[in-house]
Amino acid sequence: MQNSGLDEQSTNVKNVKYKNRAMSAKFGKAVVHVILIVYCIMTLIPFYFLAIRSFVPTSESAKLHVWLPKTQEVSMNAVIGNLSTYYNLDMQKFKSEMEITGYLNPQYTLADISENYDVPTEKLQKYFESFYLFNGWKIILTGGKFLFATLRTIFIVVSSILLGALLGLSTGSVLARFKKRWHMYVYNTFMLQMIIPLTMIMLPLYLIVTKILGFDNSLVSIILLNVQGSALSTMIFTSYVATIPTEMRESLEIDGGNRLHYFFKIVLPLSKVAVATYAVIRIPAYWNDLLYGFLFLKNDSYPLIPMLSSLTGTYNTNFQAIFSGLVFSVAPLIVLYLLFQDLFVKSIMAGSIKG
Amino acid sequence: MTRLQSFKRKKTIDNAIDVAFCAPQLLLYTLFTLLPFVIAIPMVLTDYANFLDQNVKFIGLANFISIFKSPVIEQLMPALGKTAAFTLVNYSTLFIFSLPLALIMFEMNARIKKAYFTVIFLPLMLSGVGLGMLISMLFSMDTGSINLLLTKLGLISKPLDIRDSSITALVLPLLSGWRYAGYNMALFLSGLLAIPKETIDAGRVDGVNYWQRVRHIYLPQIVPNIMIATVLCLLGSFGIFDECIGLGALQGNPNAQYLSVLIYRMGFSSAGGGGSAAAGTLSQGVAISLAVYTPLLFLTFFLNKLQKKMQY
Repeated sequence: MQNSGLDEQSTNVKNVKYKNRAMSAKFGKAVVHVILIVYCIMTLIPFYFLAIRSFVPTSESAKLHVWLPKTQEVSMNAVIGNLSTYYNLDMQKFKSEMEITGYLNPQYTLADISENYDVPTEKLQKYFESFYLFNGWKIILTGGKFLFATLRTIFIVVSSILLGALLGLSTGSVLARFKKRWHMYVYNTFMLQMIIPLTMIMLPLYLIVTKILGFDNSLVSIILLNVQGSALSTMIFTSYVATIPTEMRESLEIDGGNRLHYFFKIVLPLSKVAVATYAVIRIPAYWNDLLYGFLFLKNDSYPLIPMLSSLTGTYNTNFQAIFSGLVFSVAPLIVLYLLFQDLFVKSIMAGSIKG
Repeated sequence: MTRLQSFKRKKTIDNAIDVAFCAPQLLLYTLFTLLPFVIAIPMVLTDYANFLDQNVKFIGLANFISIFKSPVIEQLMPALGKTAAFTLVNYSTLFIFSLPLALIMFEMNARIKKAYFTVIFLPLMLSGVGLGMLISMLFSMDTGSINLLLTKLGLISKPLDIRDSSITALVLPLLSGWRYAGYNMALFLSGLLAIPKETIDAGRVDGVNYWQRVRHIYLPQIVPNIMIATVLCLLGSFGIFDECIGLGALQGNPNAQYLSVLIYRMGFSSAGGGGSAAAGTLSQGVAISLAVYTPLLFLTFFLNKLQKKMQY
């Protein structure tokens, strides 16, 4: 009797202890999730604000907006000259739409225009209504400046990835065997790139590209700079080629195949995963590159990010346009990221293991 | 004899093919990454004022002295101080954001992990310029969204001012760390995933609690990853450029004058690139970049050696 009572007591104690531990583990888990959710919300808030702010007119930007602002009527006392610079108006289009012929005094207010040219007030209001929310987007999307910059960026990114993968694979197909001493030296030389900051070699690099190689405002120079062997591409492609079984190579050699056959019949066709890893890691870097474009291209042939940076001038205070441009520059990458999310996470993990 | 000869010949041909396969990338690499160091030497020994300078004279090592003298030092010291402070705070974000995230993610099961991963990696898509602009959007004195939000919620009485140097020095590295938090988390996580299961299980059997496990199993095993993150963070922080441009460094925002911006201005302002007045000559810019980054390279070499020694 006594004995069993003791037993019961001890199991009770054990149970309580176990329950306590389970409780604290659950509590710990809940805390962890709360921390993570707070972190995620804090990560998303800037993006949310960015999206909202691209619709908030600059005149309204001193107020807090957590949702799209309500469209307000444009003041009839606004001077048309100021409006035209502020909204980046196409005056010819404006005049033809308002059926105004001849000279339009830029000092006129909207009330003056409505009076002198017989334009109904509602028509003017309606014309300016869409500018309230979409002024920034109109500036970014019209005129073709940003669209052409995007095309240039896409061209640079795609050709850099393709050429970089081709050259990286051909380098990797040699280095992967580490058969000779100089293979290791070359590999280690490529690894050096990881610790050389671009800003350190910026000025001599400018001299080389413009004076010695004679590139002037050419997208080719950007592509070549992008595909120069990076530590990352060497690592990815060398370790990829190393995973190809040597038997394949040997059987090819027995069948009389040479190195070109090996490269084009075995290394290239099997390289899908390696190229995808390389592409996914490098695309954001190439897309977001500022310094190369800034150094080697002129304003009229800027890719996207240098174009974006040119929006922040001392005299450009049109926040709406700047933030719209920012959304415009980052949105394609985010869409790409969400589409190929698994690949992206896997590649970053793989890249960091090798790093 | 003939067999030996043919063998040797085959070997030479094999070597030549190897070289041919390596050549394109190695050539570009030599041109764009190694040659700049060679070119830098004649550049730094002359009084090259800008890229259009026709009349270049040899002046020896005078540039290394003149950068520590009056007109340049007044720009160099603040820039260097700011960059060092940035590096310090940015480095600490590795342990504020990335390491805890990696430790949490390591314990989490796969399905929930994916949703969190999506958000944590998202800032990586932002460009450096974009980050600079985002910071000015969030923390500008009168128009910053976060400023307005915090003021409305009553959490701060006076809005933060991104034009204030101490605020820039804190906010910029923190958000820069936030941007790379996902990348560094992956770096740490890959180290954690490489720990043999037996080690962790042995710890469990011996009844160690979570903190002991972190302290004695996880952290010692990911030292190499921490070293790599340290090296990358150190070099990345000293080379920070894009974010400063986004904050308007070339439009005369003195708080965004980091080291790389100073070097850029020395090289390009007088040639009509930047808009603001030149801070010094081109050669002095090269001298600064050599004087500052060379010790850094040696430091990373040393860290690399150290890491190899500490590896199990």
